Amino acid sequence: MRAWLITACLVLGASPPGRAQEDDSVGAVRNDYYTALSNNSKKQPKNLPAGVSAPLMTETELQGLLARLWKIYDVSAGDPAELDALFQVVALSSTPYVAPPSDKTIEAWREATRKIFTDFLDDDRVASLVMNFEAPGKLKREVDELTKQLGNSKSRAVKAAFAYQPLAARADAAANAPLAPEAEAKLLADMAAFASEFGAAEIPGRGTSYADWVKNTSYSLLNLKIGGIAPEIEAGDLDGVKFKLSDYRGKVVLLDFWGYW
Amino acid sequence: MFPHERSLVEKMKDEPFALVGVNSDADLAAMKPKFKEEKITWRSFWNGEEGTQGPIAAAWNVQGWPTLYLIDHTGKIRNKWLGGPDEATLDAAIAAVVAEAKEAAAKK
Repeated sequence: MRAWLITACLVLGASPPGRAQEDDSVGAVRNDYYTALSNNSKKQPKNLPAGVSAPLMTETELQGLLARLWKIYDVSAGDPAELDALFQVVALSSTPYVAPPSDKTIEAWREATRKIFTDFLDDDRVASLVMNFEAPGKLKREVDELTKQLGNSKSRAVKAAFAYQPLAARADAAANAPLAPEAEAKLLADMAAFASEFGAAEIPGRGTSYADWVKNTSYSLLNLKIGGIAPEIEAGDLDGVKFKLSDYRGKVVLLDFWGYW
Repeated sequence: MFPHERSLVEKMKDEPFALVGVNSDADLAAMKPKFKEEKITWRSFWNGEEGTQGPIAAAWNVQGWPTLYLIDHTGKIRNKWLGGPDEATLDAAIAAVVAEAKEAAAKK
């Protein structure tokens, strides 16, 4: 009967009514969030003025998802799902698709962040929050205040992510607007110091290490900067005939890294 | 991106300008007929059998495709874009650097 009901709901595109909480999961809530966004984007009302779209998520839908996450949190004490549920409350309550966020949503975000910062500050998994800390509406100041507390975490992974963030912002800015020589040397030295302390750790969610990031980014800052001489390329063309980038000296070159795939 | 590149090559054919590709297709033989269909006539380096992981993209620290670098007549990098920039931005940036190249050539 249960299986039949779920199948019927899948066919009809609805959520199973009264879904029992023991078979709910953070992943399922996340999937339902994306499904709702996708469904709502397909049924945008016509006749809206240009540039205006209806919210992709209704307040009721969002509160339903948040309620499910809190239920998961309540039954998951000591289990990895406990913190996952809190992360997901932070992420979903920060959704840009319900505008503006309601008081209830903001309260959910505050409650989840409060629990993360009191109960899980030293947990390595909090590093992933550091990499992508979102907040509803205009809570930037609260995010900044909380972010400072992350510096007190005893987790190496959190410390690494905490040190990485401002460094990455400086490197990104330098890529677009070249630095004066002293400022560039300072950035490279800071990156090297960061790599010697945290290089071996993996960047949360990226599958590469901080050391790789420092190596690639330093190389780009030095050799691929705007205003610097382009590195030579000497390789075969698509028919195997060798040529060089410097063959084009005297002409402007638009170097286009492309692929058909 | 290809239609704009084609029109760029056509429009700039009498200017001191070259579009130079770095192709990152791993299976070149399979792709070549497609290039013909798309009228990709400009010269490209081949990034090798490792595709996107090949040596040229690695040396240029390419993190996404397309990535574009604008290099002036003296070999200096003047601009770079990850992901295709909008066509007006790209055309204006190229025009400014091409004007410099022509001015330098006239002085000689």
